[in-house]
Amino acid sequence: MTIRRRLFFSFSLILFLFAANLVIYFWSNAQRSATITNFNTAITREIVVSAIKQDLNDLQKEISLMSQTAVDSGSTGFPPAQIASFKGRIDTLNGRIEHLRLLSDPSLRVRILPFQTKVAELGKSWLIFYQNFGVQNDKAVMELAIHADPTQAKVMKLLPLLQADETKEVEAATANFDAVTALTERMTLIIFGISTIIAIFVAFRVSRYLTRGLNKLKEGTASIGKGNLDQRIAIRSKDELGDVASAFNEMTGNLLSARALLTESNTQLERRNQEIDQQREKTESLLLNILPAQIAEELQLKGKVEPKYFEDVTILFADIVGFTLSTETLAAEDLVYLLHDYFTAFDNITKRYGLEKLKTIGDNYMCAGGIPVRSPSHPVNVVMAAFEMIKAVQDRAHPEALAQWSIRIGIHTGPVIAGVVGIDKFAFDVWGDTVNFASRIETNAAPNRINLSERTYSRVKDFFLCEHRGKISTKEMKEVDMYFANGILESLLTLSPVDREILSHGAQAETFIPPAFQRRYRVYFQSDPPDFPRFFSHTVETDDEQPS
Amino acid sequence: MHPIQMQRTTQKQRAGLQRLLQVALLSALFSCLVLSVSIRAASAGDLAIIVNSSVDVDNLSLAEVRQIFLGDKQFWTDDLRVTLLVRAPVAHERDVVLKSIYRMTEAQFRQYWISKVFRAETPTGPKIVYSSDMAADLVEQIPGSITFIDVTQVPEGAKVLRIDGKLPGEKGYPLH
Repeated sequence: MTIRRRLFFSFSLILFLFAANLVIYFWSNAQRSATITNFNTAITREIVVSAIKQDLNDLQKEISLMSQTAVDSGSTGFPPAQIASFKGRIDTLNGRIEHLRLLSDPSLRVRILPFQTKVAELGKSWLIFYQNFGVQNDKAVMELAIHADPTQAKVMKLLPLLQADETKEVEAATANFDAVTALTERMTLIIFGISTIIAIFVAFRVSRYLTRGLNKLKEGTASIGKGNLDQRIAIRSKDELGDVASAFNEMTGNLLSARALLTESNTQLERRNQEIDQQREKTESLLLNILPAQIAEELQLKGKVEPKYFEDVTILFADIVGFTLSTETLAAEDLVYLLHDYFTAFDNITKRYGLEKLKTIGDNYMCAGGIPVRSPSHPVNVVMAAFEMIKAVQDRAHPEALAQWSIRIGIHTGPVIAGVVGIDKFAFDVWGDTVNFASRIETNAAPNRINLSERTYSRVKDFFLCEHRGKISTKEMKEVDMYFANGILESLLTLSPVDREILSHGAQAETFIPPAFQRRYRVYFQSDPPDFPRFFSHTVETDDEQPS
Repeated sequence: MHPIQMQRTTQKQRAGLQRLLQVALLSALFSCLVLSVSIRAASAGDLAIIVNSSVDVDNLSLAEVRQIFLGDKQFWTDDLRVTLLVRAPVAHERDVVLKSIYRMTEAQFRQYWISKVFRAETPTGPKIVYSSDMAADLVEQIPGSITFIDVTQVPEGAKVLRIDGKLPGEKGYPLH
């Protein structure tokens, strides 16, 4: 049975019980009304009988006293108005008796009739007495004595019987009223009690049924809310609760399927995100390979890179000496292999010293310091990187090598314009006289030597041992001062006994920087050197070994 | 016997009876006349208690008379009510009755009957008559009635009661 039908039947039953109570109430009222009507009628009859008795007594006393009263000899009797009044009283008395007769049951009317007849006769006699009193006294007395008194005696005999009948009627009506009242009260209480019990029973059953079902739904919902999608609500009734439970279970099944699909989708999405991340990392890596990190970031954010002016940049050009000859003797693959090996070494060096590789042009390697991140130490860093490059080339120029190349390095410091050109295969590049002049400095360098411009020299002379080459004519026929950087100032390579002890243990040999060099670097640039060409460390002598 | 002979015999007997009745009637009338004359002559001033002929009483004691006139005895028999007829005030007979039977004054008499009626001790009180003739006339007509009149006013044929065995005019008669 559905809940709607269950509730409908429950409410209908309660309504029916209510109607039954109402019917009993009206029935009780009708019963009581009937008995009250009978009771009232009986009481009214009793009152009427009392009034009749009172009227009779009054008239009787009046007549009796009048009969004892002497009148004057010249009396003409009562005036007509007084006689009429007396007659009215007689009529009233007769009217009361008629009223009593009409109020009575047919059985009682039979008893009233003789009384009514006698009273009527008595009334007539009294009226005759009244009319003749004081006029024809003998006739008045005769009427009174012969007719009225005997009739009055009979009336007075009938009256108590009538009163007794009416009293019995009243008692019967009272008893009937009490009995009906008791019966209706008992019936009302019984029906009300039964109705209350049935209503409570029905309400209890329906509420318990609904509460149980709802509690199961609540528990199921709570369990599912905690993520237990295997939970099923065990309501198998064929009503709304059963429908809700079925829908809920179906929804839970769908949720389980959806969760599985979602999990699968998430897995796929994560996989794709990983792939995308990998692709992005590759893209960023590729981008970082061709662009500085800051430039790449700007390009990603804005989609373009604004040209920037850098007032202080150190440009390094490195040109492999002997490459042209090798192109004639080596296979292309070997040539490319060698060049890749050299430039890879250079790339590592530029990274270690915080420099920016700009490009390679054939056997020419170009990098810069102080760009795109401005720093005051870039001339020193570039020169240290140049020493590392020469060391790398020298290490590869052993007799068993395919080629014994050397390297020519030119370094110049000055302002440049930096930017990214093109939209396809774009590249970060620098432009300006500084670039051209650095190239000229490289051109005028010597194999495995580092040629510095005047400006660069002035910036690094406190760190490196330099050799003035004098004024050298450039391609544009300009005479400029150039310097070879031969190594690090010996004073900066001096080690204390403690430093030497540390270095001898080799514990920090790979990261060891001569303290003097480091202190000066810190004093000049308020930072630590990014790296240090340690092959210089091994060549220096200790303070103890050096002559004072 | 021959029917004609029988008829003559019956006629003779009837004539004898008629004669006998005439003699008896004349004797009764004579005796009544003698009695009446003797009473009038002998007891002028006495009150005679007369009753209706329906009353089957000839003699009453003075106490019984008193009970009747006081309304304490209201029935002669079960179906014959006593009807008191009393002379109106100022009448000599009334004064005698008040004095000798009721033993009350006029005011006490009135108060007595008013109280008795209002206490419902009697359904009817005494009825006033205004003359001896009226009293005698009503007594003759009203069954169970009783009244008192001067002995000289007693009509012929009225039933006069003995009081304590005495008629008015006799020695020891109490009402005078």
